[in-house]
Amino acid sequence: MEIFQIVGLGVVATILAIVIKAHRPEIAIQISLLTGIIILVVILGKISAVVDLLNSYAQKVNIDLIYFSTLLKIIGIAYIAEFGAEVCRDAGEGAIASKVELAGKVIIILLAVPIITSLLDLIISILP
Amino acid sequence: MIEFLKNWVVNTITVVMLIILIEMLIPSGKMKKIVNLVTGFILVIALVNPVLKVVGKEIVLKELHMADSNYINKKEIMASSSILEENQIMQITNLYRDKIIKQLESIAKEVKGVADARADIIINEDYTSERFGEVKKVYLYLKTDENDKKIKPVLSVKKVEIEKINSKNASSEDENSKDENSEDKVLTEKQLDKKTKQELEERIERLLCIEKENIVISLED
Repeated sequence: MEIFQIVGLGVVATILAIVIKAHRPEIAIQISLLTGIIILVVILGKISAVVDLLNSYAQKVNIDLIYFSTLLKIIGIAYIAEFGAEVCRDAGEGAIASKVELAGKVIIILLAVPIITSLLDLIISILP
Repeated sequence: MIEFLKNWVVNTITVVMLIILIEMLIPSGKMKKIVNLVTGFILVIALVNPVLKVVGKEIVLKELHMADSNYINKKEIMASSSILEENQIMQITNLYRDKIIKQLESIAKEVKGVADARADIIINEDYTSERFGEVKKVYLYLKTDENDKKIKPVLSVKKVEIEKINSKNASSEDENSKDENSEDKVLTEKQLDKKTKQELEERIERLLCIEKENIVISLED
């Protein structure tokens, strides 16, 4: 069961970080960053399997695949931005974290704009 | 009609399922709102688009989407390229300048009597003007073939001096003649210089379409 590995890693890293934090706070941040990256890499393989499955289902439906691929891109960006922001926030840099989130939002909106405009076009074409 | 309805319902259910799965996948943070918004739009499109087909007003959403994303990409690239443009132009002008300097130096070295040459130019670096890249001024620092010029006159002078010194009276005349000789040398050197200068000026004029007043040629020690 991989969940035991991940939870074990998380708990050990958390205890380590707390113990070290009193003496060397900069090392504690590095431990938390590294743990986050390891867990993300482990999870990434599983997420890609789920995404592949979703993709195959999306192909069966008539909905344009572009929308679905855009949606997947948006999820990926959301994951990465959230991860970066959390790391920054853990290190006590709330300002940088919010900037990272802002960047993520802007990039997501940039990807979403074509969907919104095509919906608009759709509505305009319905109207006589 | 029933076929259409069946397709529509299956389509809608699948899209809703996919969206629910995706909403479970996304991290629970501030991004969730935006993802919800986009998934909602996609659901609306998936709901409305088949109805349009029946009505006969089908639009190719793929093309619209492509056009919009192309437009955004174009704008993005243009925005980033305008920042890079200045840097790029600077690099290009520097490269252009180096090339012209190398050309000038090689041209100068081709001329007889020039041993070595160093060039420097001033070009119009204002990339907004029409005359961007025009060479404004050329500076050429030349080294002449001193070996050829020095040895020959010295040898000839020595011969004349040794053979003609017979009496003390003649010495004063000799001095005069020496002066004349030296003057002649200076003159010939200057003339040579003028010739090479003219030749150089003409060549540079032809190469760069620049007026002769803007070409400064000087000798280096």
